[in-house]
Amino acid sequence: MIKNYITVAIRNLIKNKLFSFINLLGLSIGTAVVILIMLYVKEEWTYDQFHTKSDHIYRAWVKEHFKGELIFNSVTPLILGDELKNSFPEIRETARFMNANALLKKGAFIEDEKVNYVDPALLKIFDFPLLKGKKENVFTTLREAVLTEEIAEKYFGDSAPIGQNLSMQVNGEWVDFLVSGIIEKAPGNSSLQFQILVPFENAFDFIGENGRNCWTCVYGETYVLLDTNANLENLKTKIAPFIDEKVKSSYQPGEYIVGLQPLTDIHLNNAIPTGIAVVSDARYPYILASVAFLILLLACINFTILSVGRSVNRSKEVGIRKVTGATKWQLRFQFWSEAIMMALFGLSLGLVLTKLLLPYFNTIADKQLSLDFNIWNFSFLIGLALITGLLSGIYPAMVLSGFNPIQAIKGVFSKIGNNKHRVLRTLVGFQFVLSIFLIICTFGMQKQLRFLQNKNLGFSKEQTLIVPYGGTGKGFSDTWQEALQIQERLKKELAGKGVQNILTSSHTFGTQGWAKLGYTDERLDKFRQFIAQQIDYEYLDIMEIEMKAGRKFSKGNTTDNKAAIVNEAFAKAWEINDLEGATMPEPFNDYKIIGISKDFNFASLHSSVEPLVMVTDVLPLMRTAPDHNFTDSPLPKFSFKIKSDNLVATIGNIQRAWKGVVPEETFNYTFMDDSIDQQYRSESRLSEILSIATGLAIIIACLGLFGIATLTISQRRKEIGVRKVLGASSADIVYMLNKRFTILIFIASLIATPFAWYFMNQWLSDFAYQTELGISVFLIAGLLTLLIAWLSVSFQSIKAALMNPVESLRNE
Amino acid sequence: MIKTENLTKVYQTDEVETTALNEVNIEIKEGEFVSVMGPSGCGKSTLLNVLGMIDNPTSGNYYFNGEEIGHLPERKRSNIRKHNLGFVFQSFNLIDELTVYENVELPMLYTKVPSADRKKRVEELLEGMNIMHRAKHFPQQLSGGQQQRVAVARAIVNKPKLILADEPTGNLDSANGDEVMKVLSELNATGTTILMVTHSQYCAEFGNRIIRMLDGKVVTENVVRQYL
Repeated sequence: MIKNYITVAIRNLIKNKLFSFINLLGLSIGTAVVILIMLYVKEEWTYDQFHTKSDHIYRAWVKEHFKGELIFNSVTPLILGDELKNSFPEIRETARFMNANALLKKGAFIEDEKVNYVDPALLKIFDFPLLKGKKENVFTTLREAVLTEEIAEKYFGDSAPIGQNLSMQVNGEWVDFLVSGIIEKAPGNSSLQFQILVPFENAFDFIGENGRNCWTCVYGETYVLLDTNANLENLKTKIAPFIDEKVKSSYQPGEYIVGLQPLTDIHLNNAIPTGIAVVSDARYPYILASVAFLILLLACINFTILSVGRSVNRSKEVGIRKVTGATKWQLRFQFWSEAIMMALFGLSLGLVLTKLLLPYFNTIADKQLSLDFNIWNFSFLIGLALITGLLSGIYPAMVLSGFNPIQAIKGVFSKIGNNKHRVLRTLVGFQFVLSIFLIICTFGMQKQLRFLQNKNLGFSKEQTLIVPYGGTGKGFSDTWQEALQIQERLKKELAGKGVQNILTSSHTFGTQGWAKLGYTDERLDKFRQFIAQQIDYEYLDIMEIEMKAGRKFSKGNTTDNKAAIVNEAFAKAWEINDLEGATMPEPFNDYKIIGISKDFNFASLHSSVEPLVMVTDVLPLMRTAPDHNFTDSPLPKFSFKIKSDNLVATIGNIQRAWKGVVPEETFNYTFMDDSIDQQYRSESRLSEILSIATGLAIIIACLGLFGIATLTISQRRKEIGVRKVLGASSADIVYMLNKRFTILIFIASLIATPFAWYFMNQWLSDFAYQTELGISVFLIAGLLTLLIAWLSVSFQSIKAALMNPVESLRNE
Repeated sequence: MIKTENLTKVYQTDEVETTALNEVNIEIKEGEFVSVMGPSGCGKSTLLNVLGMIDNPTSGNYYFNGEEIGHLPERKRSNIRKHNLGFVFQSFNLIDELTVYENVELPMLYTKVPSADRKKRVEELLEGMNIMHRAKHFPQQLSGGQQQRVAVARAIVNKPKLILADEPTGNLDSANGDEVMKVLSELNATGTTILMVTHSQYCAEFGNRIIRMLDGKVVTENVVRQYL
């Protein structure tokens, strides 16, 4: 029997080539989109789950209520891990993990690299396999390093790295580290990413011994492995009084809380501050998965629409089968198996499409996804085809099987006919609602991203090339001195070579990190924080940052090394209304405030402008501040302001000058406006994926529309012929045929608009600065849909309208 | 085999009520070949459909082999239908997407006949109808007479007790029509009961009894010849 169904299904496919093509194309696009997005979503949802002990691994966090300020960190005191392990038997292992940058050298080759300081237990807790060397033999001595293959190849080429030395700069001295292992690169869905691992003890070279036992300073992340039978709740209740006891000299009980966050929760949990690993927005996988299923739904609706449209052609078969003894359920089974078969064809083509699109999708999504055929994926794909088939086949299975055999054979469907048109209109209308919704959201997101890109940030971000300076490993102050000298030499070298000016600053705009200084305001008995930034004398002028009051730094003014310029946000929070005699608050009051700059958006537009203090020498401020929170290194960065003509030549000039002045330092440049755009990467990624999804949704909906137009027109041929004989012009006919779709799109726009408006407002609420959606977004979405729909329908309408009326009538 | 008591069928559309069968009382015995004649719209086809269990009566009783089946649910009627009845239509009603062989095989798929038996039976019938050489062809590739022979083969493949034929020669020329009537007569000779609706007096006389209808009622019944 199944063979009979398959035979009929395949012959039907071949017989109705156009409709089979529309169905197959729609289903394969829909399936490919679902597969791609599900690969993405699966990776997001299974972050860190590849570790065999992932269910028992936790990351510690610390919440401090300190003088009215809440300080919440996933970076913890270095003493925490050992204290916990030694006090609670259910904690099997703890390991610290810290990110830092260091200069590495092999022969004459020097480069600044990301280095991770880790405890040996890290390799016991996590499943990061060693490709060379043994876990029990690595990190037995202090000066040892474990490298990824990539790094090993970079520094040692083809020669075997194990047993060789790699030099790392520690406090200005080159120290040899023995390579004892090669570790596999962490997979894309690992929160912990690394390339060079060294024993944690090395970190004390620059942290200092104070950091070893300090409960109020935080440096690295602490990971905890619990016993398989440990009771987490029970452990938490024991940790609280234990910590209270440890910090009682500075905190009241309950003011200093240590918590444990499951490893697998890190990637999508925004509620806990971002640590070393990148955290994603947990809503985005849901949004993308919904969009993928909406697109597949569109393809299923196409299948249904075409089945309904062609039901008259299939009805004879239904009648005959009934007469020869088929029951309703046998017919349902037949139509469902046909739909499932179609979905399986769609799946096969969809898989080919996925293979072709995957590299492109990986670029947009910034992932390294691959389509492997494991049990999980296989079951998912088969399940997908089954659901698609069942969904697409509902109408044919339920309705066609219910036809009265005599009417079915004769093709008499007066009542069914009316009902059929209602069903068709509803389905096509629903497709338009979805398409218009997606178009509005895409336009809305693009408008917001354009707004972010074009918003006047209060400084000049264009034509600014940023090059960080790592220094030669001397102290902070010396490195800055070096940088200022290099700045002067570069200025001389590059005079008349396309560079307008060169600036130095501790942080540049568009980076995610800042130096935040905290202190206790004794007067208010309140903990307060501000961002501190070192800039040179010309910085404000060249960056075109405007002043609200007071003056900018002046080179000729010898007291300006102890002067500060604050922004409006700072002035407002610290109530600085008059600059006459104004100083920084205690304990920084040896700095005079000489000016108030207008607020400018030095950080991302997700948040409003924070209090900022700009000085020409930040070191005394940092030394005075009892609390530091560095999310990026305050080492000098050069900003090259370049002329817009001949960019390539200018960059070449800068590179050559750099090589001449600082040959030992790598020339790594970024453009400031690119870095600023990077702040909205996850949003622009979502918008880009959504734009493509919307494009595909429109294609699928239009395919359906084209199919339905073909059917409608073939069924109205006689009417068209008669109308033409009676005097209708071709334009009248096209108008008549297009009118119905136009009304449908108008109604669909009305339905889609409030949903899209609500969704977009939710999305925009993440930004402190929002664009006005405006009526134009909604209008353009509706008009665009109308235009595309007209294009799909008009091809058929015009063909029908131009046909000689005799042709239409003769066919009757 | 068949007995009806006041069998009535009324079609109801929005505003019009049409009585297609008006208290029809007939009886057909096993082995009979009954022809039904009458002008267009007299209710012949409706009678055939109701007796063929592909439509149910509005009122009255329909006994098939002594059992009242006029008001059974579709599932049960379908079960009786597939084991006892075979249909032949004026427009052949072969499934275009199936070959001759597959069309004839179809009813046996619904009665779950094993594959080997199906093959034997289809081949036997196609040989008998002299269209074995066309077994792999699709209906559109055959002449009208050949299509109707396939339709007859399909109707009798499950060895039904009753064949319902709705103007089986209506779309055929006289030579092909004769051929189909010959096949039906041979089937009747082997004991199959046949009920045939026709416009043609010539064809009607192949039967042993002619029922004439007018406006949904049976008006006369002529015995053409005594059945054996």
